[in-house]
Amino acid sequence: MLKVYALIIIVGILGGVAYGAKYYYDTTQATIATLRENNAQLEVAVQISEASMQVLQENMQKFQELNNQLQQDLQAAEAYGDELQGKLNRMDLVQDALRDAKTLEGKMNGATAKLWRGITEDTGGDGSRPLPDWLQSDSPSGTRDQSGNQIGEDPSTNSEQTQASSAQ
Amino acid sequence: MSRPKPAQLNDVRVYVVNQRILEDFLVEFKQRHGEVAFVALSMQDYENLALNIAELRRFINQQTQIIIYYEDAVAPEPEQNVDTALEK
Repeated sequence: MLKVYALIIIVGILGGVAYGAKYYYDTTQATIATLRENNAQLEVAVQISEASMQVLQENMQKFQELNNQLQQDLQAAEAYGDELQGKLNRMDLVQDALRDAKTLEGKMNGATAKLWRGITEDTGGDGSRPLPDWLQSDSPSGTRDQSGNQIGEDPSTNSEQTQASSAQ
Repeated sequence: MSRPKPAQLNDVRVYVVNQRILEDFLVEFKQRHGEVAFVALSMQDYENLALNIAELRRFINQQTQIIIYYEDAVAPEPEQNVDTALEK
């Protein structure tokens, strides 16, 4: 009878140990699975984060380039106004008019026509429309000047800044 | 959104007159326009007018450049998003 009790106790102990081992195994596997899943999620999160950083850096570079270009364009828009002011400071229109009014008039009309066409182009239009008739014909007044040259400017030169100053 | 239509500007004729050719100018002007009535500007005022127009043109050009800047800034770029970055 004592042997039976001892056997029962031993079997119970062995069963307990086996159950504990099984429990430990199951919980460990579950923990490993959870950790593996978390790791995968973290890897995806890291990839997304790195991709976001890359996009941000690309955007920063793009905006830097756009800003630089904008500053250059804004400066370019200032340039011809400054040049016009400088030329007007160097010239004496009164003396030019007293010396040869018709030549000055021709240059003014040519430059003025060029200015309007320049502004039309600036606003997206076609600036190649025909010149007015007083610039197309040899009028007796001698006002013809199709070159659009700026007043006081050498006719042989082709200054882009003429457009800005061509209101003269 | 489309841009505003381009400026359609009319040609303007300028007459430069001094004391020496004033009489001839009046005769020729009356023949061409029928009446002797015109707007006169001193050279200084003409310079001011030219500078004013240049200033307006500068403003127009700078506004246009700023519009182009924003158009480029908000333009969709399919290559620049997280999904495609991930695919890389």
